[in-house]
Amino acid sequence: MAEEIALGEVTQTVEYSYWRLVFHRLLKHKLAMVGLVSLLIIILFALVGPFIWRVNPFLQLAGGEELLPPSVAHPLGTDDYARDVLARLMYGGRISLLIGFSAATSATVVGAVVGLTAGHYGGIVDTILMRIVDILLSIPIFPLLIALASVVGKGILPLIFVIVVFGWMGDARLVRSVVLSLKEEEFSEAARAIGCSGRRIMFVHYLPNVMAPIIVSTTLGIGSAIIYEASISFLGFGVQAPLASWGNMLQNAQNYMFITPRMVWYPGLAILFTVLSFNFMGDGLRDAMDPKLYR
Amino acid sequence: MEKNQILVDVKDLKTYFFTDDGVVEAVDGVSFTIKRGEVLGLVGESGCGKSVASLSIMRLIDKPGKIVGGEVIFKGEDLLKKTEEEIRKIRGSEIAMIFQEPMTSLNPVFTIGNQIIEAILLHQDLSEEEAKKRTIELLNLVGIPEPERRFNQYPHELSGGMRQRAMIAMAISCNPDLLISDEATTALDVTIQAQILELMKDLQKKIGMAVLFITHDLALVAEMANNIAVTYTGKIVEYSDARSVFKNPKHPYTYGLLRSVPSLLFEETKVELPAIEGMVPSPYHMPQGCHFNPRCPFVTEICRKEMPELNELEPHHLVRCFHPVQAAKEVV
Repeated sequence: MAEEIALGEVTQTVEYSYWRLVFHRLLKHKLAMVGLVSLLIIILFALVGPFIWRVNPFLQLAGGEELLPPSVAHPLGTDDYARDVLARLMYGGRISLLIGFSAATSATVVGAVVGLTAGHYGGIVDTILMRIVDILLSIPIFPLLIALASVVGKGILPLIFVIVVFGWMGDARLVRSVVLSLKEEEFSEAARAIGCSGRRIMFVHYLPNVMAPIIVSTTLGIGSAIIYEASISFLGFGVQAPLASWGNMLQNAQNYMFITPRMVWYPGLAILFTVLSFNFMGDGLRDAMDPKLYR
Repeated sequence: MEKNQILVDVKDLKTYFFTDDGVVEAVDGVSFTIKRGEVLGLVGESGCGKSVASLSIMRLIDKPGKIVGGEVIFKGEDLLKKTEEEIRKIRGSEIAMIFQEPMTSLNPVFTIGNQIIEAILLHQDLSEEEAKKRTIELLNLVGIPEPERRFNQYPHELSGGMRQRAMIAMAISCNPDLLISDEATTALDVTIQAQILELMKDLQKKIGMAVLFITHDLALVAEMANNIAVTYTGKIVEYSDARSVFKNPKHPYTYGLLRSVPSLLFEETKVELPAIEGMVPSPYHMPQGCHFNPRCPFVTEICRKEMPELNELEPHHLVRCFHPVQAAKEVV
């Protein structure tokens, strides 16, 4: 008996859960860490920044203070309505990030449900859903975005809606393909053999198995949602002034591009760094969650 | 509960697969009965419809497969006439199943404990706490050491044998009346195989469940089964109690199978191991007449024209052959 206990102690190994393992691998991924740190800085800038830099982003200063160069009072200068650019960049960041997060997660939820349904039920359900995906993917997106934006109206919620409508197809295809391969695994037959219903198998057995690709795709999706927001706002159909977003700041700046080019630089660089960070994060997550490296 | 009560009565079960290349008659008129607490061995080569027959009993046949005829009377009711809802209540609780691949039949993202708890909670009215207690009992029962620790482990942290034990624990969690073991030990190495078989025999006695034991390994059925049904191309060719099949095989196919089992005797005498000539016919091009006729050493004209019936040659010994093997010599 004493021997057995000793043996047990020797074979005792440290056990990590999957997510802890992913976290450890992520920590070792340099590019992902660069992305994560710069993301944290950007998020802090947008969320906490306004509590430190207490300047009203909508306040129009007295006449003659338009398009001021950077100074102590206005570190990034003022815009054409004599509003503080730093404050607007912070508030614009809030809106751009909000749209990015909510549009990308909603698109993923829609895509995941469609993909699970199509993959699990197959047959006619699969055909119909996947043809809808094909149709949506073959429509040139910008003319339609503008058309749709003019139908559902301008503003933040319609903008999120529009981005979601055109953003879920990739996730649907991804989830469907994973489910199709999961269906061939014996555990799904085993799940049926213990009496699970179809819906239970879909959401309890398949969903956790597709979480890793879903998380990666959402992370990458936030980046592209921010770009969509910027593009639509740039075209004048997104977030409307006086509300600031990085996209409409960019749009506003184009009139003064040759007078004060710095007005293009600030929101442009903000978008560039944010999207780049999300992409770095997404790549890092993909590597960290790769099941082939798992164990 | 009577010991001799018939638990499952499969009558003329037919499951066909409608593929683009034609209809495959994977299970074609299979009939057998299993009494309570009895073990029936279903033996045959790969692709002879063993697994399809077991999946048909559970109604787990997917497109393009379809159960086209027959009855599966379980406890007096035809499972093939039940609604999806009703059959789901039976799956896992009254009929349970163990699969061939212990590596893939557990969901990789859940702990062993959670998967067994799921099976329990689906069919039994227990609290989470009670289910957990029962799960640890079950893990103990199937011989998994340190059940409390294993409870929180993921499938990849367990060896193949341990996983198959966990699968068995899951299968017996609701005290099923019938356990279907579909090549459950095939993927394991021989020593583990012996342990798992021992465990199944032990549990079968303890719980008193009936077992449908599907395998291609003759040695295993000899070990486990009371009765044996030998299948070939979706039909039963010989069906009797284990002793008769082994000591007195009547169908040339069974005879050939038993002769092709290596024994130390051949090693000494340097006799080449006899094999059955030829291959299993393609499911799309079944030979006319008896499906075994191209490979049969005793083939005659009638074998190429007509499919023989399953006849009762001796009491309780059914054989599908025009020229059953006469020699009652021992082959193993």
